[in-house]
Amino acid sequence: MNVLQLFDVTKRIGAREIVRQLNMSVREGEVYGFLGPNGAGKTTTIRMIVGLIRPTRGAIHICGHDVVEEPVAAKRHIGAIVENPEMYGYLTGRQNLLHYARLAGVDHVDERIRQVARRVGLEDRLDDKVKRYSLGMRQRLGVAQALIGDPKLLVLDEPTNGLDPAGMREFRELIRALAAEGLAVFVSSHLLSEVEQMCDRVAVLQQGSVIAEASVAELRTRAGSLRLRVSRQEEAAAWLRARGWQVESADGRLTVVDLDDPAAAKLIRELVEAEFEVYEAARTGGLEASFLALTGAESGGNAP
Amino acid sequence: MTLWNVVQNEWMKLVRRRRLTIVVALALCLVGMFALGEHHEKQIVARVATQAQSADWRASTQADLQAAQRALNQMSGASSGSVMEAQTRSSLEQRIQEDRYRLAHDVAPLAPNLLNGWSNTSQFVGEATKTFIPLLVVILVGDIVAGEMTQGTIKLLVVRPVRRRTLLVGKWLVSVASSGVLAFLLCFAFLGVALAVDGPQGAMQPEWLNVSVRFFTQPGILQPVPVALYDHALVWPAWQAFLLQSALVAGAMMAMATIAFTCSVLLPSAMVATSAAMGAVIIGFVVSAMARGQSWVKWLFTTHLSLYGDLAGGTAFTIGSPVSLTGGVVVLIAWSVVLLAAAFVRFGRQDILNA
Ligand SMILES: Nc1ncnc2c1ncn2[C@@H]1O[C@H](COP(=O)(O)OP(=O)(O)O)[C@@H](O)[C@H]1O
Ligand SMILES: [Mg+2]
Repeated sequence: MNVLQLFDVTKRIGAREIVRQLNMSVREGEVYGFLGPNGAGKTTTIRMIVGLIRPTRGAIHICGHDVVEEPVAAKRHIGAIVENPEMYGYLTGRQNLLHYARLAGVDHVDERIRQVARRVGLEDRLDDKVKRYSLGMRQRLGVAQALIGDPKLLVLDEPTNGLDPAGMREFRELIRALAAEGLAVFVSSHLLSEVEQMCDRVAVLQQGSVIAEASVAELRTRAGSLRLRVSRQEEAAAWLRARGWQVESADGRLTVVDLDDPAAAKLIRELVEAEFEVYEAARTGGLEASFLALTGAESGGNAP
Repeated sequence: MTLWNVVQNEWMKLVRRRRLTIVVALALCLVGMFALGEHHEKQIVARVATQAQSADWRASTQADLQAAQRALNQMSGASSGSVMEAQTRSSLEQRIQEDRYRLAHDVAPLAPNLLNGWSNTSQFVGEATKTFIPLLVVILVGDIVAGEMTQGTIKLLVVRPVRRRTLLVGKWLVSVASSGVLAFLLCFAFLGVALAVDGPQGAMQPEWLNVSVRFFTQPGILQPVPVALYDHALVWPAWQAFLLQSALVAGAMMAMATIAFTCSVLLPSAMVATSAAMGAVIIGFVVSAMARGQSWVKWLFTTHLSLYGDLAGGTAFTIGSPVSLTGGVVVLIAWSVVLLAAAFVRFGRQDILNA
């Protein structure tokens, strides 16, 4: 079942279309990555999903409820962190959670607060003022407040920003565990590696448009590229092109794109047999290469 | 149900913010200053006037009443409509009302070496409610929405399964209730220190309500001359008048809270919203004094922050044109309703982009 669906969502601010005709859907139990560089429009999209701003055109459904038409019914199923999870610093963690629990219509408030605090590992510090929390603790409290209303969809905007590597790993594990329990997670990021490690599917956003969407597993098995340092570089490049490879030559390296492992081995052997010296050979791995291939291919037409 | 939850939340935030501490500290400063002032005045009075209350005040009051009535009777008949005449007539009427009140309720005049803490408090509150208490209200609630915009906490609030309208109603109710309570408590704090310093006497002393003010224009005099008219005046014991005054101050501060609240919805940051509301109070205060006699001054909300002054005549003297309590209440309510409507329209459809 689709927990989140976007239909042709466009947002214009002033004369500018910040995001354009987004169509996405997230199923329950799925971690959906929303990958794009800074300024691509990730936060704008997330603000529309959680009802902070209205789409100029198109519609967003959460568990079948339109966010604009039936905001209360739709938002009953959302837990969210938009950019930084700003909390009330002058309140304790427990008071913050109590505040959000009241608004989420939670029944057994104390019990629920204890549950989510245990879930994110914050039960010991719950009665400290939030202004004395470290960044990592704030992030956990952010997740706790997102979970407080027992949502079906978790919307996270660059949630690992500012966390150290250990914190990031812990966070990823938490997200995976939540998804395993059936939660749908929509998470934005500008880091490919993070999306690769955390998500099941990914949409790539560039300048307000989704330019590619694929499952992470599929991207991973796709062919990568090969970077070579060889003698007589230009000659080698011409030789390879003549044999049908896609080759770029720059900065003292040749880059051959779109080839899997056996093809790479074969190519190196042929180069050696053709009496080029191969000093260095490096494979760039599946996802990044296919990501570059995807984005490069689709935005190549109007690139500067 | 949801609204009650929102109200509980907003109350929790209001009482735990640092702004409340600032408000309480400033209020205590003012109460302390008032106490010092009373103490100082008490010492002066004790030094200059030592004579005690005359033994047979009833006889002298009776005599004064008769004299005043006789003088008034002589005046009636020939009415020239001059200021002098109106003033004399008016002060005679006031004397008669006072004497009658004293005789009927057995209220002796206060001895000259005693201060009346009740009426001193009433005067002080009348001034404080024009600027100082409104400023406290603005500090308390003037960022109740804008503050969350500035801090970014509005995001996690609006994301909840609650209508924006409900959030705003809850915030407004808490702003208004807390401001009313603040004003009420402050009035009684002033009264408490005044009675502690001056002594409890004076609770039954007469206060005039429903005083109308007429403005006489005269050839040769530029400004119309105000004369307080007592024909429909009510004489109340000071304690009763003070209760009414406190209620009116609380009511006016609720209107003030509504105006500050609207600023906090319409303006983008806590800083800007609070400054704008404070500016409105101060500019309004200055304008009412400077534009004396202009008829539009009575449409400003700042003119009516002292509703008790509308009722007791003080406001009319300040702004140089007649006002009434009903008029003042209508002006405050009109401002509140119009601004509140604007706040709801704005917050309901606003894109929250920058929080
Ligand atoms: N309030 C605004 N008014 C106009 N443009 C904005 C506003 N907020 C963001 N933008 C523009 O929208 C684009 C997308 O921003 P954003 O959604 O924050 O991107 P991301 O989260 O992917 O970094 C940016 O180019 C930014 O300049
Ligand atoms: Mg962003």
